[in-house]
Amino acid sequence: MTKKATISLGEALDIAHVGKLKPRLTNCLAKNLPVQIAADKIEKVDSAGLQLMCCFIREVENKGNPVTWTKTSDSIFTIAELLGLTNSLKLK
Amino acid sequence: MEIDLSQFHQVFFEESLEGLDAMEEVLLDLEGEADAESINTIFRAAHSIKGGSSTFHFQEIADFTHLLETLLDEMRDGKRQINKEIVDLLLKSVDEIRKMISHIQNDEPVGDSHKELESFFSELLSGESSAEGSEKESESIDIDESESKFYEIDFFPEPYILETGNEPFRMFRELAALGEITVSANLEKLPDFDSLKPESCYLSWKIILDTDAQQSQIEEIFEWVEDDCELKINQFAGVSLETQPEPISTEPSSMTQASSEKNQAAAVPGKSLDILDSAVPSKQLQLEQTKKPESKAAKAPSASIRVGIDKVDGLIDLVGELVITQSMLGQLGDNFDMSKLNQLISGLAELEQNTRELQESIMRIRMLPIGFVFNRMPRLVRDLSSKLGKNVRLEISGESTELDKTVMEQIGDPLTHLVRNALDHGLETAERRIESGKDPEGTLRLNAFHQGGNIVIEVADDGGGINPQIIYDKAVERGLIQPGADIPKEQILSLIMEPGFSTAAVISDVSGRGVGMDVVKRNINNLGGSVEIHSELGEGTTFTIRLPLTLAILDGQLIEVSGEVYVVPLVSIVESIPMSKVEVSRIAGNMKVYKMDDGYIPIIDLTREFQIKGQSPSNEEGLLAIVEGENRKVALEINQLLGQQQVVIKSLETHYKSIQGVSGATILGDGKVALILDVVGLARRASESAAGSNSQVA
Repeated sequence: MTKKATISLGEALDIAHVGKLKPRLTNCLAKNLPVQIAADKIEKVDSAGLQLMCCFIREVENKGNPVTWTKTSDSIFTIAELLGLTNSLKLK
Repeated sequence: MEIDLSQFHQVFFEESLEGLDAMEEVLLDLEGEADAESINTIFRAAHSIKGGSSTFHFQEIADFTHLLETLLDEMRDGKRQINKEIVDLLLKSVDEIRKMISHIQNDEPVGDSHKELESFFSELLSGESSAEGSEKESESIDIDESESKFYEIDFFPEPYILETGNEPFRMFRELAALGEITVSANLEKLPDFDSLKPESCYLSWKIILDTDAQQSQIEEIFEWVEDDCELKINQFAGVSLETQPEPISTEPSSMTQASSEKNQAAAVPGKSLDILDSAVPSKQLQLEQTKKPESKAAKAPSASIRVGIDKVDGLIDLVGELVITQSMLGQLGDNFDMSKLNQLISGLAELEQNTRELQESIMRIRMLPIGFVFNRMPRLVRDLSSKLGKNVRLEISGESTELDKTVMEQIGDPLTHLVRNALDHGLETAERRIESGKDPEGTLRLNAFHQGGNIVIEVADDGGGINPQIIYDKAVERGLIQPGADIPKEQILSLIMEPGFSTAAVISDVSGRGVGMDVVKRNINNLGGSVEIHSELGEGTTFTIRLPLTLAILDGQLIEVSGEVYVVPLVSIVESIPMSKVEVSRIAGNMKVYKMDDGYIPIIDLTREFQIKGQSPSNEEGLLAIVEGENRKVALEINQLLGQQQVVIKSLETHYKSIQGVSGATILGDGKVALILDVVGLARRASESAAGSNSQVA
């Protein structure tokens, strides 16, 4: 079985939480593994949160690793769609 | 972290009400002549209210002020003339917005009362705009208003935009509510992961909007960020979305209002803030919505006060000084010996000084200019004088005089009543004034100033004045005074403020006043204040209101009566005289009186009045403290005067029960409770008994 790094985004992916999330994502990047993102509990999402995830996903893919979302909440999908970021976030 | 916008509601209400006051003030000055700055002031106020109400989703206010703003815009551009009708209309709008704000504050439905005015505005605007529309058509590209249009919106936010709380997806959601949007995000400026500052915005967007909305509606959505972004809006008609150039490294996403149920919920404006801000799944939405009333009740907005930064800075300086004094005293205490006694004394004196200054500064925080109350009068005078067909000039002075916020809130209604009465009964019609050889335009003067520890407010008119003889006869007829009683003119006039002294026709005929005057007097007395009336027949009437600057702290004189300590407000003390040097007379009813220069004043034996155990002060050792309240003097029999000090007033009614002759209580430095004497109440009672006795003698 392929080894994967899993990152859970918790309940909030917004500007108040991006500062704390970035070091976790950096650690995840350091593992240089395919990444699985759990986002089923997310309730609060905003542009700063999705921008961080776009940058993270691009970085993971640049290293040749795939990114998958295990589950996504309605809110992350709605806001990503409003901001035109569903493709960059690999939500489609 | 989700921001609870309701915490800002109170600030919005306050700012909006201030804006409305400003609008009203300018509108009242505007009549007849309008300069660009005045219209700009009104426009700015309406614009801020619209923006705020839109942000907080008070849609009715936002819609209403939008129409108002459009009308004002036309006035600003010189497309619409300003006349009395328009000013009337705008004043009515101010009233309607006030009403709507009040409903929202009280969690009540806004109601429909503004609808009539709203549709009137719409008609007025559509009538004019059709003419303007035809002009525009001739000079611009043919765009059918009814046909759907495409807008290309380029939105380049500044990097700091997210930190200011301006969230792009909210704006896009509002755009989605106008029609079908296709959003393309440009990620070109997104740096590598290590360099990314997560709070900065590196994205920009291109949005194609298919809508029948006007460009102004789109601009409105971005108006809060116009200084924080570069925005380009291009309109073109009849072009399909497919022909739009695909931006490099962007991703389009199409979204309509009805694209999916969840999106629809997010896109419809006017839904609850919880829904809009978090877009949480429906189950949780229901939970939040059912919880909402409870949390709202728990978070009932408390009144707030705006404080000038200079006052806050002053406080910080004082606290700094207090800390220095405290540390100096602390050091002194560490190794204290008697050689440092003088240092200790001066340190304590400094501490006292600091404390007093701090206290004064904190009191000043609650002080607001009386202009807040005076400012509502021009409108009242305008409306009422035009209703009564009288020409009235209102002169306001001393509006920057400050008084306690609580006092000011409670003085508003009595003051309004006095102004109303002055207009209704005091000032004569132009014809009658001409007959009396007066200027046909009557004058109503409002003035405020500080005097001692009080604020004095005067409401003066140059009307017909009050005839004391008619008041006297009326009072005799009503049994309020005995026939033939010798009462000074001021006291006769003050009878119009007695309960049950209906003015009805007789008083109206002599330009008297009275309906509700007892309520005015009671309200002012409840604030620890008093009202005096001066009136000259044919020349006018002046009501003088004296109010304490604050209700919380009192400069008090401590007195001893048969072993008990009482506090007398310092401002009410006239003088103190040894009883041995006073000639006391007795009148009917065994009342003792003392002859002063301006007549007899009643003496109150506090020992008997308050049923204190012990002997009343003897003539050899006792003192008479002459105190004054409501223009009435009374002498109190006391044993001795103790020190003077500021006392914090505690309501007796709240902690115990109301007691006649006592206005409150305080805790002294030694921890004992002392009662604060209600001088006005004591003086009134004594004066009434004296008047009764006098008339009986006569």
